[in-house]
Amino acid sequence: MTVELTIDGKKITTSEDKTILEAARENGIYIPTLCYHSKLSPIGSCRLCVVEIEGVEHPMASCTTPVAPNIVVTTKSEKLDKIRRDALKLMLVNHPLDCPICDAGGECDLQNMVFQFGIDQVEYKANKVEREEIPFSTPLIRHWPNRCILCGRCVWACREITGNNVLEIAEKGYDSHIEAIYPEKCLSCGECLSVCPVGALTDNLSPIKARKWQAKRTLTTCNHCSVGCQLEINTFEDKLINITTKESEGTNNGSLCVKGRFGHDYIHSEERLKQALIRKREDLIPTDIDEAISFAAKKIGEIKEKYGSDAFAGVGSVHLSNEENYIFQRFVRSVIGTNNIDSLASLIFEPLSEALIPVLGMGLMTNPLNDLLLSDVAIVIGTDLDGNHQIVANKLRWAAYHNDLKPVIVDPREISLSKGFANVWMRPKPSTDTVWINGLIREIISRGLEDKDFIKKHTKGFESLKKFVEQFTPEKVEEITGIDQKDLKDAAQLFGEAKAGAIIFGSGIIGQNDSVSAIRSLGHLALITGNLGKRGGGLYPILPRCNTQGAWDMGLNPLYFPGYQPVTDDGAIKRFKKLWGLPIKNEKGLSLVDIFLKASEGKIKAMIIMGENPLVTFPDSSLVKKAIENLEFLVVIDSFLTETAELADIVIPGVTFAEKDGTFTSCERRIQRVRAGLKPLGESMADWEIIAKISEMMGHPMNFSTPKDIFDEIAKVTPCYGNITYEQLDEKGGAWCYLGKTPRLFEDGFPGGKANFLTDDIKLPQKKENKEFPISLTVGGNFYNYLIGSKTKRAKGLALVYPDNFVLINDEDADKKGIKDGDMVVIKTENGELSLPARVNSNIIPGVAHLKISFNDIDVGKLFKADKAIVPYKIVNASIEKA
Amino acid sequence: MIVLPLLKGLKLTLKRFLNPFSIITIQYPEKKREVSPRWRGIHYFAKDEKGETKCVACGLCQAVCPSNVITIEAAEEPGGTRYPKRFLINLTRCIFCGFCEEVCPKDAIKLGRNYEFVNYKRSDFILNKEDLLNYDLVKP
Repeated sequence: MTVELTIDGKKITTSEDKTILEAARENGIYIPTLCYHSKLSPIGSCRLCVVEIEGVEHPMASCTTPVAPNIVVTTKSEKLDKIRRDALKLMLVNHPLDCPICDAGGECDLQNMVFQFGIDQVEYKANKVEREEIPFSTPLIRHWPNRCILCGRCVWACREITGNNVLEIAEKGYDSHIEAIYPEKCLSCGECLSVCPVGALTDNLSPIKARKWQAKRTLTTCNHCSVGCQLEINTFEDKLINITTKESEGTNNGSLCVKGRFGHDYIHSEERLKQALIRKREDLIPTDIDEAISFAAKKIGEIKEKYGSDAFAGVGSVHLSNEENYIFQRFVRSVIGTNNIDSLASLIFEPLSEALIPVLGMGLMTNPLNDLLLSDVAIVIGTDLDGNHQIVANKLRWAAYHNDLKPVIVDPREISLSKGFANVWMRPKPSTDTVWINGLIREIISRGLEDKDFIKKHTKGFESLKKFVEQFTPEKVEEITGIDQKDLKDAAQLFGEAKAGAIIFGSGIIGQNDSVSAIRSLGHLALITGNLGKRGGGLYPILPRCNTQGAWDMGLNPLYFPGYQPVTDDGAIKRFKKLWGLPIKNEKGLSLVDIFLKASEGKIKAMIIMGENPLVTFPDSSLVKKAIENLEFLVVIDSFLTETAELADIVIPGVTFAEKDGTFTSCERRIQRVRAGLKPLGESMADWEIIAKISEMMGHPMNFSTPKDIFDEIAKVTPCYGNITYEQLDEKGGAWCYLGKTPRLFEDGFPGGKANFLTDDIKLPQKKENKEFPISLTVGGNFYNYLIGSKTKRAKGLALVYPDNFVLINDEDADKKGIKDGDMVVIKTENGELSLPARVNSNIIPGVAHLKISFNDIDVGKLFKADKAIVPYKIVNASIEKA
Repeated sequence: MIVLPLLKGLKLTLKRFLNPFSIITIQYPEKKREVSPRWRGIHYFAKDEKGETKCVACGLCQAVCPSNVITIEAAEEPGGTRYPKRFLINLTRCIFCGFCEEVCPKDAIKLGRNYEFVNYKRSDFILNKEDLLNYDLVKP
């Protein structure tokens, strides 16, 4: 419905759900505001946006007044000006004029308004309010109660964007102030900080401050998780001061999580490598970087001559840029001449590809994350979104608030989304996901809620699926998984009825036993409900690190060249041979697990590890340790002296994301620019330069002078990155790879015509009692060890808000063993043992325990065993005893 | 005709030459000239009761400076007050307009009465926070 109205003599047509302020702004009519924020619902506290409406006695706040047909609105008059000036003056009565020492000085909305209205004195007198300084909910934000103008933006932001209601306006009248009433729920995301119009909330991380006009703001992509938030690093005199956002950029719309906003101080850590290190006798001795590079080149040449190319292996990184990973695989494939190259991305994409490619033709996130705003129902499985990908959780909350999204949360652990937010919360036993997913499919089909047209038009083999899922009756599902029958039925009804249903799943599914069967069943679930190639539907595998997608796309795996061109394909080999000018092997290389297995047998003699710390991040640390000990020569390129680097023969200092240019590909397949805001520290240089130099020293110059040159080559040889230029990335703030016409996959049908229901390979969990190791231990991460978790915390800000590691045990299990909250316990698995403190409560189901992998000093990796290509890296059978 | 104006001029010259009260040359550097109260000389920092600078590193002088000679690195103390961690004025480029003094909300930076500032190296003309507080050097 459209409505016609007149604002300042201008006839305006707008939709009826708009407010007067929104209608005016759309048409370029300026109304001053202070408390209004486009991301939040109207607050109406500042009274600056008052307008006069003909026939209405008193002026109205335009931000809260909806448009009505044929009203006549005046936005500028003497009366309104007086009201606005008075409103500002009353704010100034109690606002301290400490602009010189206030963080917001120069970008303060109140300052701007006072300047705009030309207020140079306040004639009102009142008792000065001295608000007491009370502790804020997070140590990362400093609260200046006297500067607060009580606009309410922080309260609204905490409620609507992070859904936590931590902040509230406490007391009444003259005594009212902002108070953190539920400090324990605070996620430290800094949303309140970013919306504060004055300097009442300031960044408490860096003591060094810079004004807006002093700092250089560089728009770049966050280097933490794979969501790919756009943020601005504010640098001054070659120091990173703080991080701000632009609402117009990226999928995050100006929001960030605690990692993005505050997890940056490791860049200036004392521990950063400024010089190359070379092993002489037993010790790593600092040396000149050029000398280290030429020594590495010489040694690689020698080993290649002595043992042949296949005695080498390369491990790339999921948090380095596309350009760096591309140049690395080019170096390993052409100069060294082996396909033994992989990265941690394969732990995630191996199961994803194996499960989804036969069914759908692609194993990727099918829709952009912003599609979640349009969903009716979202099933979230095996991922603590608030802890790891808060921006995705924010989207779900937005949809629930504005679009009546109904969340179905599936997690044995109690997470922040499961209580109070979820419509249905199912708590399956670990590794039984295949059963309940198929139970859900059966329930949907038996209720006749499947999308019959879609199935008929786009799929094959539905009858076999129908027959296969017959066995998963709700009773059987309850027996195996422990999910209440009613919950399963409710979930089936919700998801089956949804116009657009999204399926979000994380490492809890991807890293479990029989992950392929579970993921494939999820593919079936999306297919039968017709939720693919549709706005708001889709499969959303949430990837852990910033460039997991990019590393896989760039051919950091033993089977494919960049863009999934098989290494055994003659055409591809010919093309790359011509481009790279060197012979290329046409046989499959070793996968990451095989690389470490072979190295531990002494069959791999030398390894280059670029930007990765497998000793901590790889699931089986004892295997990695053994592998590295058996190597003749190990080069590590990293910005820190990591645990792995400590064992290397040569360590070459790389740089952090703030010091280099390049691109990251986010989990929603969006390629976004990374821009340098700082100069590289000491002698360190970008990883791509290091690889290019080693290659040049070995007699094969690569002729790249900037990351742009590398990207141009990537676009040329990688089909899914084709037709994208570096300039385009700058202009549009990112480009989608794997494009059809829209960023959504399967909108024009499935590759190969139809999607398949494949039930033959679905394995069901084997029920067996494990007497020795009765507990299923699941692991998860909140943030990344390579950034923070060593004994001397590198990211000191994050270290403040994340407690030390502990193991979460159900109280019933703990009672049996006599374990109390806070006791030290010993966790034993077939592969190793650990001791750490326990936390006992009912936030987790009996028989399951949970711990974090993010702390370097607690080596969780040794509990795991990696001996096959698809490693269940999230779950292991264990026993827990009191220490 | 030529001689008369010449003699007229010589008369004035001799009058000045012989009159001891008309000497206006100051015997610099033995004697110093008294400058006007509005003189803008070398900068210095006003001190607070503790003898520290009054500057809170708000950055206004840096923003207003027309020749861009001021560099400030602001730091926040745990108590919430601010101080300049680094404060540099490059005197070789300064035009002594006094805008910095005028804009300072804390009356921290001032232009003194010292006009004698000689060094052997250009780098010595870059005054830092300690220099500006060292009154023996800047002689306000």
